[in-house]
Amino acid sequence: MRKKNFNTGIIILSLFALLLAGTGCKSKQKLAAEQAAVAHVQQVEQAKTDLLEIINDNGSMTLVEKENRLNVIKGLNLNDSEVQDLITQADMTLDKIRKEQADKLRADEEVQRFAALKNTVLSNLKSVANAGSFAVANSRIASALNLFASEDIPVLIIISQENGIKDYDRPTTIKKYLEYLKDVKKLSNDIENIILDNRGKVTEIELIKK
Amino acid sequence: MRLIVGCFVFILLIGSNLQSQIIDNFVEDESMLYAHTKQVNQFFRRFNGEENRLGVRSSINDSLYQNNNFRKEFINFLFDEESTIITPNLKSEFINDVIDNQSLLDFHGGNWFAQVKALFLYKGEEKTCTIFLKLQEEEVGSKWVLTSVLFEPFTSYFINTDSLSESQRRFLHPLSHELDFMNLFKVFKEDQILEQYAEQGYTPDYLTLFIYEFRKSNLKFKTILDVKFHLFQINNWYFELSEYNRKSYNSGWLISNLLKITEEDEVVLKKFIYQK
Amino acid sequence: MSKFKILLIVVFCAAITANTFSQSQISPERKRAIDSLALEKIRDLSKYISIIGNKETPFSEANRVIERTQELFFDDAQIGVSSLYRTEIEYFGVRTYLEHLMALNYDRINISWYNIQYISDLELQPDGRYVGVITIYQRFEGESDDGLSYKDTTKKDITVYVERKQTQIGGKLIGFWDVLLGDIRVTETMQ
Repeated sequence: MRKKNFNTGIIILSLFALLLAGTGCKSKQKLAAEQAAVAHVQQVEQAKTDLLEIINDNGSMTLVEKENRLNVIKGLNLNDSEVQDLITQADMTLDKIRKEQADKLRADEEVQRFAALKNTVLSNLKSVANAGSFAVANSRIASALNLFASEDIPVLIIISQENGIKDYDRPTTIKKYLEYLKDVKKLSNDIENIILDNRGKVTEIELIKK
Repeated sequence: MRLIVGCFVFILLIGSNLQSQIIDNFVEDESMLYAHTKQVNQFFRRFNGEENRLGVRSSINDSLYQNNNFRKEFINFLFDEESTIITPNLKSEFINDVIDNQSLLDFHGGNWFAQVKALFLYKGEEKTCTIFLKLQEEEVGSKWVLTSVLFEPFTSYFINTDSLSESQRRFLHPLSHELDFMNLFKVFKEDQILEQYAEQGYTPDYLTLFIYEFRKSNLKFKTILDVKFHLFQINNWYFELSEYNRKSYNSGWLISNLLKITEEDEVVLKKFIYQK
Repeated sequence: MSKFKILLIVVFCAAITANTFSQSQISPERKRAIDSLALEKIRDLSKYISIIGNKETPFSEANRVIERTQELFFDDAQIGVSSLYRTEIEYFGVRTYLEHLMALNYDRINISWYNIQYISDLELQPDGRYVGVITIYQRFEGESDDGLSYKDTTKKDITVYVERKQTQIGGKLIGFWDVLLGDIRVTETMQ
């Protein structure tokens, strides 16, 4: 009898265990779902924070870092309208930065090109002023003129600037100015600005008194 | 001696800025050229103490600008040191007066004029002519204008009627009109002194005659011989400005004559200069 | 004639009537800039005179420089010269004076300039232009192979006319100071 009781006890226990086991499996699933939901919310929140950082960044991140972070967020495929809006905004921000960087690069190249051209023109002017004889000066003038669209292009010389108003000397032409340098044997002006045509020849030159 | 002291002080004045330079192996000392009063404009600036010792215009904010002590020194050098007409006492009285009253010369202030001696060909013969000019202010800017001329061929033709004796004096009697002025016949006889028939205060206008003769091609300009200026801008004083071209620290435009005058004297003196 | 030159001439003519600047409107800074521009023209003239007077200068270059020198001057500018022994002023046109300088019969000519100049005030004249006088000193030495030599120092009082003009270049309106030289009084000095 005792044995029978034991067996019955085991069965009841097993059933209970089964029952218990059945009940435990169901709450685990629920937990997982809850956890996933929490994780999603967290992901969305994190994505928003990251996207706002990308959008509002004042230079602490490089463009590549921003692109990487944005790509990661995009890879999450978060189905959240706010996140999608922010992604669009971030894309626009990055486009803007890419354009700015390209513009800056072009401008830097332009500055370098201008500086190089300025140096070339300046050294040509100097070489005419420093020529030891008329013959040397004349050949240097001929070679310097190759830089210019024509020998009649205008040369403007700023003599003073006050309240944004520039005062000039009487405008002259490059041919006359080069001949002037040959005669006075001294270059007393710096180059302020140069305008080029599409062949890269100087069409206007603005000088300033040193 | 005065000249030596003057030169010495001037050298001291500009000594710190003595400019020498080597021009093609020649060392040129330019201190004398700095001392030279090179333009009438510079005379005005020096007289007023408006330029520094190197001839550069001072700023109004400069402590030496129109400074009394500076002016006193400078004006002292603006006299012809070789003149015997200007006594040291008169000169120092003038300088003290100018400084005490802070009198300044003003280019546009009027009461000064130029006297130019020029050479002309008059009817084929070389003659000198004195031309007087003054600076006239215009709506825009200013210009020098002819005021009168002195030309011997003209002046010798006119007689000062005050110098005529009683017996020489002629006139048109007050009832001439009743006879239709038939006595003009006598007035216009040859060799008559017409001036005495003119109204009181009549003076011949030589500038008009000069223009007339020029227009008739009787006058041809040759050259300028001499230029000087008469200044009446300083109260109670007259001085004359002449140019001296000599190797000296005392050269250029300098005061060549100085007179202390009253208002009445000024009228007389101007008449004397214009020979009116 | 290039388009630029034509444009320049047209605008020059138009600008002559546009004298809107009065004496009081020129600030001290601007005046200084104008003074130094005027002085630069005088220095250019000095250099041109040295080139023309230099026997080493090729004929074609001397003639070109005479043209350039004439461009510095008003058309009717005259040079009035007097010497210690001839105080009367002799009058020359600019071209005659320069050609005379070029034709001088010395084998060596040395023209040098004293490091001193005096700049008068700029005065407004009735036509709206400004006029000033700049005084400089020049030393001339001429020497011939046969031992003949001549030296003098002259004071040169040079009239400078300054006019504010405007012109259009490359679509921009350019305001410039046109500085032209006028009569020159040359006096031999006792240096």
